[in-house]
Amino acid sequence: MKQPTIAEIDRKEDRKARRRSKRFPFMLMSPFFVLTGLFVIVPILIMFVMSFTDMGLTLEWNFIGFKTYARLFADPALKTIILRTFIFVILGTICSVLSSIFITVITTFYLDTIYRKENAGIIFRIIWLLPSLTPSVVYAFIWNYVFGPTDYHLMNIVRSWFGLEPITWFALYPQQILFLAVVITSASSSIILFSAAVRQIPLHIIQAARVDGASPLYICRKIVLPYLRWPITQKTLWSVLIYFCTYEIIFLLTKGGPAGKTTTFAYYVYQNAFNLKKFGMGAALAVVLVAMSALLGLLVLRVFKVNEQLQDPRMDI
Amino acid sequence: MLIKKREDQVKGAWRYIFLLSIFSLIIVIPYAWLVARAFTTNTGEFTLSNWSFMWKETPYFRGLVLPVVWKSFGLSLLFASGTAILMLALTIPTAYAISRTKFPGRPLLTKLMIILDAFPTVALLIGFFYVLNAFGLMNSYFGVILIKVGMSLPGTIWLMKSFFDHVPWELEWAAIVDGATRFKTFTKIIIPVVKPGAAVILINSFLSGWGEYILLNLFIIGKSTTMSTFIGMTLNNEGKIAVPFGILAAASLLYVIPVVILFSISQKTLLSVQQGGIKN
Amino acid sequence: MSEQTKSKPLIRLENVSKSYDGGKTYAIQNFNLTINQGDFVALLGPSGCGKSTTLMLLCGLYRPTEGNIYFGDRLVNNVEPKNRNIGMVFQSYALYPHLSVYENIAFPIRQQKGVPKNELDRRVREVAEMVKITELLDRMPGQLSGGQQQRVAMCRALVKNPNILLLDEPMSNLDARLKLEIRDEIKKLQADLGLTSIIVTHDQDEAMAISNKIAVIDDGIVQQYADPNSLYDMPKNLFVASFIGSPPMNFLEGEVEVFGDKVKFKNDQDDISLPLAMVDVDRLTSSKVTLGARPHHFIFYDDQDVPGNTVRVHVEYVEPLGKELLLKCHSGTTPVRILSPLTDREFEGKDIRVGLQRSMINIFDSETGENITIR
Repeated sequence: MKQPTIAEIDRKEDRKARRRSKRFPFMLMSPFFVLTGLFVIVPILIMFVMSFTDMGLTLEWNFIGFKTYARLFADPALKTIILRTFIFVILGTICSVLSSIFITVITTFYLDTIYRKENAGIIFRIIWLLPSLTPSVVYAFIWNYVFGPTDYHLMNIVRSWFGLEPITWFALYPQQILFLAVVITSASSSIILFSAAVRQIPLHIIQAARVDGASPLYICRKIVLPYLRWPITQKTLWSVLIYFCTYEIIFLLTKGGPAGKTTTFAYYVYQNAFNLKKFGMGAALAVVLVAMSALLGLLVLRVFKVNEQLQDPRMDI
Repeated sequence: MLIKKREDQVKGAWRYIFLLSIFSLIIVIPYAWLVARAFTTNTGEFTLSNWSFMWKETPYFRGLVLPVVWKSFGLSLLFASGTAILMLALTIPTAYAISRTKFPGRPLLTKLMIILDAFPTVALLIGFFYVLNAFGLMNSYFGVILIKVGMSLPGTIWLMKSFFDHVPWELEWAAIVDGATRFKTFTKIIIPVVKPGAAVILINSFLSGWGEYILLNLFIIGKSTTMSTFIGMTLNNEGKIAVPFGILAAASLLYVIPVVILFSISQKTLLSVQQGGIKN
Repeated sequence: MSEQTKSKPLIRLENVSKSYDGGKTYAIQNFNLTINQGDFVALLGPSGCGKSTTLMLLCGLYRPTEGNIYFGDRLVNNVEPKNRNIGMVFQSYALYPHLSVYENIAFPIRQQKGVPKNELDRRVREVAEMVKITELLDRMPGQLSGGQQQRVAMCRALVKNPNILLLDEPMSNLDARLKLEIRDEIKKLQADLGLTSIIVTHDQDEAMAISNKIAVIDDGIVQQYADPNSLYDMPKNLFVASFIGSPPMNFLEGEVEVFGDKVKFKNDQDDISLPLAMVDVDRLTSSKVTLGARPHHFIFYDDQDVPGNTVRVHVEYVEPLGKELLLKCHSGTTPVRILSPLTDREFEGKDIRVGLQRSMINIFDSETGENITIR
């Protein structure tokens, strides 16, 4: 039998190596593909197909074409809900982003960097991180009790100090309470990112500006905020998406009520599917929701320039 | 001159501390209220009786009995750990592949991930019923872990990718030249280097699993007994809560404390490495 | 090692090109280089010239886009790094931060199957002994100084007894004094082991000191490949001439005319005649030439007694370098640096005439940049 030459062995090895390196990424990603395929892509397809049925409690796949969509768009309530959702999303994003900038600048810039009171900075940061760390049921429970209807609840105790009768806060101000609760968690969740961005500012830049006699406010405007520009853009876009998709806290706090006053589009989807058991309608609404958030997602893609964030591997193995 | 400047600085600091304290009241008061109520009766006297669910079954309303809490606590712990571990196990190889290898469809896959990350989860809920049923995973905690991980994977992968992006190529080159395969380089060299990033993913997923409510409530029909459903069931009847407030406050506190402890331990890691998924 | 094996070509690059973007731009193009057994070759050039790409092609992390790379007779274009038997030291050392020094050094051996434990231990200790880091074996890389990290990286490259040692800017992260020390150590190690080595550097002093052959690279092309002395004395073109030597070579622009057996170099300032036999006039593309003279190839005369064939320069200021003086001058608008032996003579602010050691100067065609001197 003929011994293979080194060149032949090398060629064989190379073929093997190329096959291996072609398979390698897919081998790493295959568990992800399986899980995402089964538990994300398949549900999406099911939802899509279901949106052409009028499935209700009986769980029958009764296809009625676009009739569900026709019914959906004819619903006068939908316009109000969409309008309310947009106001909720826009106002909420503005308020939460502004307040997290405010908190970050004071804790991480003023207290940590300028006044060297790191302990105060840490305490405030932890306080402001609490809401995003708190499990949603507890968070809802807290607000339920602060604004509860009886004279044992916090806000009514406060009223009693002024000799006022207890009131049913959730009936009178449902939108305001919900808004407050959502803005606080959302602001809370941006603080880590913003703090990390402020920390990345080279200290010598700030020191140099201080030596040149710049006031902290001036440094904040001319150095800190420009550094935060990218995280702010990023967080604003994500906030929009998150507000748009919020439903859990609404479910826990107000259930969309009273009289549908706190029903946003995402919650409307949930309500139709799970409270009213109108699965066909719920699915059709979900498709509309997905279409709207996909538009937002495309905007995110444009802003984040995904391709530039993919570096080519720096080797040919 | 020097002393005067210092005084100025301290005074300036107090101004900001005061301002922020006022602003923070909106969080401090509700949470302080929660803590206070966990240790008091409705009329304001100090008591530990709210915590009796920790050692015995507690009757609370017309013959209804609260179970001992530790089963729920343990179940939540298990659920959160399972979520975190599965999340990490799936995130790390995928994020590495996207960050460090080239394959056909890489830009497309990345874009798809961002779109999926922006995907409204409420839209998936209906479909989950069918998928879970098909696999016989209805009413199974494992099934809920699977859908929870599936839903959050795109976001975590994107975050993890940015950690891999920062690993110097020279490390990878060195290992390859030293004779390791790419897989071995990944497991033996690169994974240990991105440990801080992996810790961030692990902690975030644990917290998210620990706090999960809606999926458990929907897919473990009427039987879920994790901490979140323990507290959540009392919220379900439109605010008319039968469980005494003190007990609920105590249970909530028990539910929040591990989170705060975990966060305090890890806050240094979290703050130093969490640069967000998308860098400029 | 016998002379015969020593002169055998070990590495050949034949018309090698590498493009990262599918042929739009090339990091190196039509690259040719032959490296003999036992050589210590420096790849020298400015950053971005393609020298690191060359190293990556040699170690197998990159595959050439075109051309062939041979180790001996073996075509290695597509041979994986692990099958090439090479050791490599990286610029940042790339020590595995989570492994101890011992495990760092052992890593390459652990990748080879079937090496018994005591054999592994023996080899790690042997190479650590050789580089004198035995007492560091239990430390973590983060606890080491730059010089120690460098030594550990050396050990890791040497532990598998490589045929070829590749060094990618191995000393650029060290301070000046340590650089000299490590440089000597590497040179000694290389000589003791007779190990064919290739070092990538942008530091010409380092290249001159450490290697016995230098490939000067610019624009992805080997500009000149020679031993340090001929590179210094007879640079092949203007790029090499200006890149090698510190202070750098002086260049005077001018035109040439042939007069019998002499050539005359002329510009606004000066008139210098050279023997015709020194200049390869056939290779001239025009009459424009550049005269290159190293700072210490000038001749000083007493003020009274200045012959012809000199360059008139205006001395701006004098920098004492200890053992000699560096005169910073201008000839017309061209800056000229001249080294003079220590002297009491006042130079500063004066116009002086200096002669040239004519056997040492180089004439370049200004258009092509080629050296057309004959020696």
